[in-house]
Amino acid sequence: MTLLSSLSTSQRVLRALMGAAATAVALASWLATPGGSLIAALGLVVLTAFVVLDPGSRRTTLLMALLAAVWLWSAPAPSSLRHWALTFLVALALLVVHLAGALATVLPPAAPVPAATLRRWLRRGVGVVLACVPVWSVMIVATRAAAPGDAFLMYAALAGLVGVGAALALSTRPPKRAGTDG
Amino acid sequence: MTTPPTTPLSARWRPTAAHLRASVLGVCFVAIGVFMRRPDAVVIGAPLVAVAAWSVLRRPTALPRVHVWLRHPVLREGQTTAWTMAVAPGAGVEDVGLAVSEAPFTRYTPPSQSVARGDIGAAATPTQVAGPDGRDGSDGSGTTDEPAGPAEQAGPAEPVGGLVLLDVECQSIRWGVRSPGAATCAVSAAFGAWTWAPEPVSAEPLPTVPLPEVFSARTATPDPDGLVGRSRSRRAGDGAELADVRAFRFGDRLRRIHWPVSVRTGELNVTTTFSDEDAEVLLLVDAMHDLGTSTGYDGESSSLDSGVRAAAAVAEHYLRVGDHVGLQVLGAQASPRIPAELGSNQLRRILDVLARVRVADGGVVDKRRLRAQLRHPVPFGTLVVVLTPAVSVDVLAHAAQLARRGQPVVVVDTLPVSMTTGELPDDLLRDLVPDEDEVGDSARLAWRIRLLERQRELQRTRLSGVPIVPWVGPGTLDAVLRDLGRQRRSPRVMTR
Repeated sequence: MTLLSSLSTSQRVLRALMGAAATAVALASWLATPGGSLIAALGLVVLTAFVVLDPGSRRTTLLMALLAAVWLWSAPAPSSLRHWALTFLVALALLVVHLAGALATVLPPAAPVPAATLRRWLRRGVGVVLACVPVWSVMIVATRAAAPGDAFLMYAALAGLVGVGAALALSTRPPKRAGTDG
Repeated sequence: MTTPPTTPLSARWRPTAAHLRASVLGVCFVAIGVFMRRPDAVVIGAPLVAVAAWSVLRRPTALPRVHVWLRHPVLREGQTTAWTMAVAPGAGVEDVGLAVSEAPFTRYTPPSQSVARGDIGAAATPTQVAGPDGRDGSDGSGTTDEPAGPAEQAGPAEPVGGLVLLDVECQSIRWGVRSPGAATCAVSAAFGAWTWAPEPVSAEPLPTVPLPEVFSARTATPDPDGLVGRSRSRRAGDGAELADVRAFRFGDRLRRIHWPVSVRTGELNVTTTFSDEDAEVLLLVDAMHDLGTSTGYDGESSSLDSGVRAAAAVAEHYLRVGDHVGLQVLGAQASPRIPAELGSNQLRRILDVLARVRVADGGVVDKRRLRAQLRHPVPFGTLVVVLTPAVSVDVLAHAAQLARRGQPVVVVDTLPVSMTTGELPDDLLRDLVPDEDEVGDSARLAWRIRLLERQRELQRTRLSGVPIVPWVGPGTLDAVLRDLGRQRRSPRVMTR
């Protein structure tokens, strides 16, 4: 566990972002859902504090799993546009928690995170979100169109996800150079 | 550029907790969404799956070649060296970082003790680094690119031929054998999903020789007795300083004839000079106690700091003027006696021994060692300079004994001024008592009594003919050496 006083400013910002995103999901699951629980939200906020202090631990995985589980438990399957918007925001917040936690552990905690690294991670984060937009669109369409018990569109969405992954792989693969060992 | 003086570090790429998190949670959320018909679970899991897939597809395929080393084997107080990390990144490497752990009496630049660089993939091109054996790092066909030379600026440097250098500067601020903090380096790939992290690298102990304080003595040593040198002896001979004008005798050199006196008196007269000879100086550094606070070469000095730096300064001065200088550290473990020699190599030997001085812990063994060291014979005519905080009675008694034998002895008092008061602050008093709970009025009273005893012992030592001076840098020894010179020219009683 790292002392906050020994962290660089950029690391503190990263951890603050992580804490804010996790707290926002916890509060949203309490305030914006019909089955929200104050106790669960408070528990998540307390766990968030520990995760912020040590983002490289397994507690980060536990926090993300609990945040998603509490949200899925307290919110019904989205049917209105408001519910979908909230779901997307929760997905974005969880992505922020994951990326900020990963970036916070990549480099020495006391070292300022290089600007180039921040730009690259931000760019890729946006890329991931854009890549997920088709999947999310399929989900909305599937929810509106599908009769109960028909999972065809769900599988179509999964196939789309795989396709998006393959497209990402092809687009991000560096060009081969002659004579390199990589 | 020369070859990095270390073998490349070895490790292998490992998936990080973040990658496992993205993979496991992403798949779980999507599975929950499919099997429980919760599209919102798929929405939440999709970004994580995308991140995990991206990370797998950009997995590094080659090991980076990393060298980490400390640039200098020996330092002077205040000098700076650097932990240097040279990375020849392979494909997929995106971020590199170097962190150095904390070490006492060491200042780091940057103060965070760590540096990172994040544009490795864009800036560096695949290259090969020659190892210390001269063989190429990867396929045997590449060029040789290695970092070397002093660290000019800490932090990430520009890539040199595809090689990325990171420096964390370490400034040693106190003499002694320093253990620079271990260097930890890390290399990571896309989304922090893969990390290449070898074991932390520790450097050999780094001797830091004392920075000699400014010192000069304009008065010659009282009893030079060598062959060559710049100290005026008491004997007539070839030299620069005028001794007498006397009548010409057979064998005198004609160029010594003093014509004004010869013309005036009507007979030939010649000038005589004192011969220039070298003196022998023995430095006795009292390491039985280290009193006061030490905050480095530019801060407060403890008694041992003052003693060591003063010994270095005196040795440097007398060796430069051609005298023989020897050294004995009293009470210190594994500190060999250095016989009096001259030359720059002798200065190096003395500084090296001074850098390794460790204060005695005051046990029976240390006292026995001190007595054995004090029994070493001192050649007659040697100027003995005792650098002591004058807390150890044995050392003062030894100085008085040498003086009674006719040796020229000077005691330099190295007790810090802050310690000469009876009203010591708690932080200074804490170093004097064995248990922190004992810090209080009784300990303060005990120190006051010790100071009174010390004053009495100093007085007795002075009465036995040993001058005691505080260390003030240039001119510290001038007045006492002049007095000693006068004493040497007058008749005296001594014990053999």
